[in-house]
Amino acid sequence: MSLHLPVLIVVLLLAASYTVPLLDRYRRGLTLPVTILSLITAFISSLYLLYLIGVQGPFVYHLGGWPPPWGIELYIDYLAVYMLIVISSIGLLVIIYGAKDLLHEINEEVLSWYYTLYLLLMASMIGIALTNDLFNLFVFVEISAIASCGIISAKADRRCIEASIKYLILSALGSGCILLAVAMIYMITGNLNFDYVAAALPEALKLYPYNIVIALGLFVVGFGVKSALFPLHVWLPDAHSSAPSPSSAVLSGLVIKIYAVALVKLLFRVFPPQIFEAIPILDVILFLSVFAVMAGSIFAMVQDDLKRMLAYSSIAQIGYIFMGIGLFGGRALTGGLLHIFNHAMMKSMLFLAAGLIIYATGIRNLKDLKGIGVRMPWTMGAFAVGAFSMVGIPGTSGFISKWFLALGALDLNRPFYVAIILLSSLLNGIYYFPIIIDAFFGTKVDPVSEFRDVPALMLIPVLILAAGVIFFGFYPKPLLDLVNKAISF
Amino acid sequence: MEASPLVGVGILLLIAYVFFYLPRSQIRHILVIVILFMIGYALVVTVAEMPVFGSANTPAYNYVAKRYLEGTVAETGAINVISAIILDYRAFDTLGEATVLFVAIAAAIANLKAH
Amino acid sequence: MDDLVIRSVSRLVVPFIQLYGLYVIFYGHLSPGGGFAGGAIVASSMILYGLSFNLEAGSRKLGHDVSSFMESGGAIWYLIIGLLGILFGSNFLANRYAGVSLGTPGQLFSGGIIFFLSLGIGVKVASTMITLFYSLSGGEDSSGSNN
Repeated sequence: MSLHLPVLIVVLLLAASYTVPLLDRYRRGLTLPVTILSLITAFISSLYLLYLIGVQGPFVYHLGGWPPPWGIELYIDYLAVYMLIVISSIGLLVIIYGAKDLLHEINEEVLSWYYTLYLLLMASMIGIALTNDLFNLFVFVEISAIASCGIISAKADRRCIEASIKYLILSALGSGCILLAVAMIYMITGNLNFDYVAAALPEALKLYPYNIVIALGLFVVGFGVKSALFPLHVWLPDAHSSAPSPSSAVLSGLVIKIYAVALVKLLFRVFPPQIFEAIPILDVILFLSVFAVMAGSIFAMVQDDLKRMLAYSSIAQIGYIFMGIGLFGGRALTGGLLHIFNHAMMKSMLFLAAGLIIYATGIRNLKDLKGIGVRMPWTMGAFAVGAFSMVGIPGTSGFISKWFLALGALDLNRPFYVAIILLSSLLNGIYYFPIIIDAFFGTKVDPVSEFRDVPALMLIPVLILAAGVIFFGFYPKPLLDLVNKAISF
Repeated sequence: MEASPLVGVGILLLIAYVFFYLPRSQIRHILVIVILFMIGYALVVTVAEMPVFGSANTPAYNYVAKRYLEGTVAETGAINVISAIILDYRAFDTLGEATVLFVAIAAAIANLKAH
Repeated sequence: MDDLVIRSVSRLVVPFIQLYGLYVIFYGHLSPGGGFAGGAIVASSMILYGLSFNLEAGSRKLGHDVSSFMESGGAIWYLIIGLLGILFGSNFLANRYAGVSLGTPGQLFSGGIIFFLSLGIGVKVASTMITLFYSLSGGEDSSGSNN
């Protein structure tokens, strides 16, 4: 029975998402408990899967009993389980926060549809992490693309519509690129399973070199658009800043990363290593990631809207993950993948903290945040932890991933990238520290008239995430072990 | 392939010409056209290299397709091979496609109710 | 739209379109077609009805409650059929490996789960198209009827 667990997680989340609209009609009170319960089950199952593959090693699951190349296969390795744990833990904490926060951000009628879309998004991300089949990957990418647009535009705000249309168009462009690439790969190999494609590609590389290079390019562009790699990031600031805070947290924390993971799987498990000699795709990714890290930080410095600043900061942080991919070969990929979890924790926490500030005071402008730390010590304390982690202060988890990125750059004898990491950390400090200093030590210009007390249920997820950032900053060993196993392709 | 340095030099000359002699608004247009031509050139080369459509020797017509064609009736009991592929061999994809419909309608209704 | 000819003709044609759609769904494993095509045909009959009479009459024939039940129901049906595979000792969505009788190829009830999955897809596609049509055309209260 336990071997069915991976597919059962996806099925459970899908079933819950199909049921929630029905419950909305007959028992509206049950929609939230069903959502949270299914995510708790998914989280516990992910932990059990981690234990299971520790005991018996990575395993495969053949849907319908058809072995590949005839059927679809799920491949449950350390990378998949790592992503499962990241997705289900952050997803659970965010929706617990959202239970109260969404009441004031979106229309009551829309709530259950929001939960539906949220569950579908979770199911599709878990599907992307698990699948070992190109077309199945595309199907899940499609679901997550529409679901993530849906959770942006569920808020009754004109800017959300504009942002989500922009996101929808660019994301559909990315899906189109991915579909085209899948079709080309299928055309020249006749297989869709990752392992079979990987076995057929070295032979096909002699016959159809251009097709493979173009397919690889299309994959990089398609997943690059979706994960907001630097020149393709134009949709992200609007989408992530205008969305409801739980959506921002999930989109910035999880969604943009799952596409990076899909790209990692394709680059290092499907495409033959010879392709990197034919076309310097890793160098291109590295080059773009340097721009992403610098440009994201510089753009973030000039923002005066809190959530917009965090959104630009995401562009810089996704740059670190791609830098880890580009510096393949040393310890940098460890750092890059580690940064997926670390950034998921800290950016979700920062967005949720920003949501708390907006919930309590309605303030979005950075200049008005002076003295807010006295009114909301816990929230701003968590915000400070997240900001320290963004900058990479030792003792926070952000430091560990940057440390491994730098070590990886040194492994490959490319100290230039160490300088880039240091410089961008400095830039991060320039825009994060003033906020914290102002919040705790700034004198208030004018007192906030309306101030709502923050419910404990909203504060607890933020504090758990802050504790996680500190815990994994001091004790990163379990994560490091998991990531090191995950990248042994 | 020996023509590619010439093409590169030509493009460089064109860019130089563009930057020295044209107003800025036109530079954008011309850059876009040049980039589109480069992408188009790459895609045409790719299409020219693709296996011939409908030929029996294409890589896609391999043992997988043969097995689908020959084994379907015995293995799934369906006569329509396409149905057998989408609803039996690759039924999980079809579940995904049904979910795409579901997510589309969920997003549409959420939008209509929100605004 | 109030036109006698269109109303009479569509009243005549709608049952035949629906019958044809059901045929395409049920014979998906025997002839070209299947759940996606058949569901779209069934939905088109309802859309024709809604267009030729008026949208309110159309949404009375198939209320929001029913169509949203069909929508979730079709997908849940698909999952249940899939889970039966696990119950019978094989994997999710298993057909032959779960020991389902495949029947005589060519008969209506053959192909194991394919027939039932096709049915689920047909219901799902039909209800999706109808719901989208009524939601976007504003025939039903676009803020959703929750009465």
